[in-house]
Amino acid sequence: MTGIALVLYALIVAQARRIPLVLHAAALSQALPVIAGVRYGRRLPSPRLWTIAWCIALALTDALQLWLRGSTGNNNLWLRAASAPIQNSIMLWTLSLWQGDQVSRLAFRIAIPIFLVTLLALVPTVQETSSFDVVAGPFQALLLLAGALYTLVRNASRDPERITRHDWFWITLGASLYFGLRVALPPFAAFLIQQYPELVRLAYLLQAWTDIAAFLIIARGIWCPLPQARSGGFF
Amino acid sequence: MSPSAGAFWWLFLMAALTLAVILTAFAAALIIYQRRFLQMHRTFADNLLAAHEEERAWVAREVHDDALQRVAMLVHELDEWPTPAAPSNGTSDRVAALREEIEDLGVMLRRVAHRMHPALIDHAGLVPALQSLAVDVSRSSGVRVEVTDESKNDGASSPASTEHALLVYRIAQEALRNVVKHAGVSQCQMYVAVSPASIELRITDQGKGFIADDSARGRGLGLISMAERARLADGRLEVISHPGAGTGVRALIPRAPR
Amino acid sequence: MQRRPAVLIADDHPLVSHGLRELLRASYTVVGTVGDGREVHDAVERTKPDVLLLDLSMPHRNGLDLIPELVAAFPTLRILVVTMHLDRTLAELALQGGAHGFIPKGASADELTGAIRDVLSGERYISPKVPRRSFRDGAALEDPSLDRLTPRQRQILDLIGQGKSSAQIAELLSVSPRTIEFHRAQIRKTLGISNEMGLLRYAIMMGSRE
Repeated sequence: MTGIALVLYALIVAQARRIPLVLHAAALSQALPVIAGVRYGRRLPSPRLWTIAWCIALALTDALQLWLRGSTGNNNLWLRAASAPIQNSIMLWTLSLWQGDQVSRLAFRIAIPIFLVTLLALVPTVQETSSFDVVAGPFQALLLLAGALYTLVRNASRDPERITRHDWFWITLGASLYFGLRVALPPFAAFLIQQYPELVRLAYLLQAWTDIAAFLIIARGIWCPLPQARSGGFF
Repeated sequence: MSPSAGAFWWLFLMAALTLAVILTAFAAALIIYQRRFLQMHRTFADNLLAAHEEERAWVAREVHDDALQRVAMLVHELDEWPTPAAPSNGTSDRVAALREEIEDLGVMLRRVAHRMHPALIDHAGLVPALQSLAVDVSRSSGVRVEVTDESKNDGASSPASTEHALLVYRIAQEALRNVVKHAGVSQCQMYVAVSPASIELRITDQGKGFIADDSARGRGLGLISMAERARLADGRLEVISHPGAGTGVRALIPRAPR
Repeated sequence: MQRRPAVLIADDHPLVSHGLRELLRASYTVVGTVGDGREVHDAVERTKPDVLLLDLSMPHRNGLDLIPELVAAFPTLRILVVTMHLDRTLAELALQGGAHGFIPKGASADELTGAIRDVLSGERYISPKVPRRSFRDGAALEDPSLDRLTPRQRQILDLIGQGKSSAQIAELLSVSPRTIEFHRAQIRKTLGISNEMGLLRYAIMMGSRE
């Protein structure tokens, strides 16, 4: 599976030579959690499996984006606008699986249709696609950042002792990093693109580096030892 | 749109949207949780009540069908005991005494069965059972219970189902228990009205009264069990009481099919 | 002399109907037994008894519902309800429905024959064993807590109040003193009295109320 992704990626790279290396690396790093998943394979608990699904969604989107950019020369904004809700829904679902109480679990799941509806409502009210981008992207990122941090804090308060043994610790940490930058960056970029384009380019490079860090951390989470078989489950 | 002013607006919008989604999601989750899982608890409580009544009915049946029949059989056996023409060593006296002891056992068993399950409900219906309950309470507590049957007797109304009748009976039992224990009166009133649409039960007294708020904890399980029973039948229980001004308990159980 | 009165027994417990049959054999002719509520009407028509001993808890037909039907169809029939359920309200309902008598299944032969005799002569009969409406009916003003005791226990309590010892009570009632001790202990438990002195005082107090 990963082999296929790598090969696919190599093909795309061949088409898009103009892009700096770290961006490639950032995109590649999305495969790290998937590779880490090989350790346990199908025995992985479902939150981790869903995390891997999220990474695959990201990777597919990026691959598609690169291909399209290669052929048309421009970033395809429609793709970006359409792919984010799907990826974020997957992550929300993943986070819901880590909730210890029923109310939180339900809340995360209900949030999926709610935020999708909100996005749809945004579309007619915002005229320019670029403005839409400035709000829609960060809004979702903020939502997911809040969700990841909430999950991290709540679960940590329940079992602070062996926190680093838990997959959710690493994965929500990595996710927070990933989403954190995506909250700030698009408005920042929209702000300054006219006057300081170089700064914006650097910011995107920074995002690429943090992405790599984030996926490394997430991969570490996937690599966590499996939990002992527990009788009963979350109630 | 100028970057600075517009940017703040977009930032604000973004934050507001996020907050709105989060709050809505949690609120919706809370509501759904309340409904779904409280329903589960309710179902459990309902099943518990129903199982309780079933057990009691079983015990009453066993006592009636088995134990009391054996008592009757023993009594008859003794009746057939051949008694000598001339009472010699007091055998006939002893036999008669034994017979009385066994009959006494029967009385005691009958009380147990009656307490488990008021058979009169099956035989004669709810209103006679309540009248009998009133008589029992009057006799055993000294508090006179006046029963008024306000049912409209148009002949067309079918008798209440046993489940509904039992529920109302148990509510009456509990309410009367409270009157005897707490009201400090020498008499009270019970009104019952069976109609095709509903069964209404009212028990009132002019006694001490109490503060009937939601947290009537000092009363123990009594009020709660009455309310639960009423709810089990999709009905309603009202308790009106003021210290010094008496107490009224009203249960309204609909009879329409669900 | 006229023929012996004919009695039809309606009861679904064979032991009971047999027992009743034995009890009545001396003075009455038992013309049949019926075990099912649906068959009572036909059986009465067929055997034409003078008295019907009717159990209320028979299968398929509620005995209480049967009474008005039978009274309407057979005006000269006397109906004596014989039942397990010693309930005042039930007795009143039965008599209101047209029955002539109400007697428990554990009744003695004497009581039964007496009841049938009363009922045949046109009188109504409710067994004294059926609990009274309230403790205020009847001559004496009893303490309501006495209601918790069985008749036997009340009898013994009475005798205790008269100053009799266990041995004397045992002699009087033709049972062993051990039985009396058993009853005393049960009475104390039921009334919540912890020792014999208390029981004696209570019994005297009850007795003095009469």
